[in-house]
Amino acid sequence: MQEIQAKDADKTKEELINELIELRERTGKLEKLKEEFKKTEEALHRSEERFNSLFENMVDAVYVVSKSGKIISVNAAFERMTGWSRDDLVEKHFLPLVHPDDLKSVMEIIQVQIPDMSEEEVLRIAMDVRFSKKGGGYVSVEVKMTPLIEDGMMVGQFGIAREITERKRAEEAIKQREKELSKVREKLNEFYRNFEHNFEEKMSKTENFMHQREEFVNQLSHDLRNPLTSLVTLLPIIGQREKDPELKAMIEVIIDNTDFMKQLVAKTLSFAKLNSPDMEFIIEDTDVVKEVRAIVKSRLNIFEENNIKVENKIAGRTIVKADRLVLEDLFEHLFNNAIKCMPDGGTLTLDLKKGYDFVIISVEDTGIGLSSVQLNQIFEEYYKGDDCRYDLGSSGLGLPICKRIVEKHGGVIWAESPGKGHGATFCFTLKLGSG
Amino acid sequence: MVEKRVMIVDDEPSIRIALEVLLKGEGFEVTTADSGQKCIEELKKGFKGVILMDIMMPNMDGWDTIKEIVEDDLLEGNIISMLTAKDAPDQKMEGLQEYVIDYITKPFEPDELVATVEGYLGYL
Repeated sequence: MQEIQAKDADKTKEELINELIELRERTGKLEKLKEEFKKTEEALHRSEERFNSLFENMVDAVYVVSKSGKIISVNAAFERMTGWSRDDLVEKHFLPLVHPDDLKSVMEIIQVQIPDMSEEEVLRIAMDVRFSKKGGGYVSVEVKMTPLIEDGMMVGQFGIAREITERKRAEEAIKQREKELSKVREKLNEFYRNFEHNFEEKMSKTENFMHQREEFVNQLSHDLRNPLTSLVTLLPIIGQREKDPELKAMIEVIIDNTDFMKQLVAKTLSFAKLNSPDMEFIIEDTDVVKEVRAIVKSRLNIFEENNIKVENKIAGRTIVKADRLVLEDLFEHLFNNAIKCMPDGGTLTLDLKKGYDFVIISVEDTGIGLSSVQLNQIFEEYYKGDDCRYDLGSSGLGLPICKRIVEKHGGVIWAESPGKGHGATFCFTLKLGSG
Repeated sequence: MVEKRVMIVDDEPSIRIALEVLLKGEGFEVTTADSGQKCIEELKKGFKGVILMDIMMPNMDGWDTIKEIVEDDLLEGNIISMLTAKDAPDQKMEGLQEYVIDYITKPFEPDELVATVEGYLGYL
């Protein structure tokens, strides 16, 4: 004490003051440090609080597991999502939480893949897992992991589990929808195949039916030929030999009817012949003017009998491509048609107009005319809608035969009429020949 | 004057009767045969004239009959015309057409038939 005192005593007052100042400075620094430490501690605390608050209030469910797989912490969202409380989970292993079917893939990722991965690689992992829910059931989540590193060693993981039940459900729904769609598609395909099959079947049935109808009509016509031959041969002889005028008149009626049947059969067969692929036309350069003149000339007495005046405006020389014999049939049918349409007589006008590589020939009558409906149907087989064709002289095949003949020549045929009572014009085209 | 002799070969009785009545009425001497065999028999018995031959007959049809007529050398002094109910050409007529003068399609116009048959007489 004495020594100190002595020492102190040795010090000058000035020295003591300096020491005191130094001491005070140190104390001040210490206080500052203490304050700083306190601040740091406070900041740390705030940061921890912030972290806890963040951790706690995160919308996504978050958990922390140790390296060994023990659950260290879960947040409120995790609790809400799984229904498990913190007490149920903390310090327990996380594996029992995982759906048994997902265990294998989870273990594979955690135990095999992650240890060999860099931090970034781990961050990229998104693992679809189902966590069990308290009280049963599972929740589908997508887990993203962040390794917890201490002193360069991974000590655990920080996992964010985002519920994807909805997504899964949507995916399932999509899958289901796809399944249904593919079923529908299959059904549609099957329907289409059936439809195609049925359609083909129906078509071939229809074709068969049409063919059978044609065959039937042809066969019937053939079969009628023999009985008709004896009828048309014998009836006129009977009529000649019969003396009783009443019986004679009856026989005349029968002869007329038989003649009609004969014509019907002949026309049906000639129509069938025109439809037959075996029918060959001899199409050659023909002077249509000369032909028409000859045909008209050969029928002048028929026109006269029916009180029909013929105005043939077709003159000069016009070469067309045609089968002469068939062309004659065509005019015969058209003339017969015109004669029938002018029961009280009239005028038949023939004309020809030249196109670039075809001619239009028109046969115009001053007869009973055609309605617009009749104009459309008149070329159909067995159509007898028009007034001039219900008599015995008509088969309903004359104009269809004309149509077929013209078409076989590569032309078109049509009818024109200003209406009932105003006559009709039948026009057809023929290709121009050379010369 | 040429003798107006005609043979009608048809399995159809109505045709035979009709043609017989028609042609007899026109002064023909008419022979009828209801089959190809009958036709051959008549020819062997010495028939000479116009033969109106139906194509479609059971067993031995018109073409078979013509074949036999040619083979049996019975064509001499006869004219054959075919009666047909068909328009389509027949496969069987190949090579036999040259023995036939004409085809008559049923049903025919009686007047035309008489004129046609009378026309054949000129070839006899």
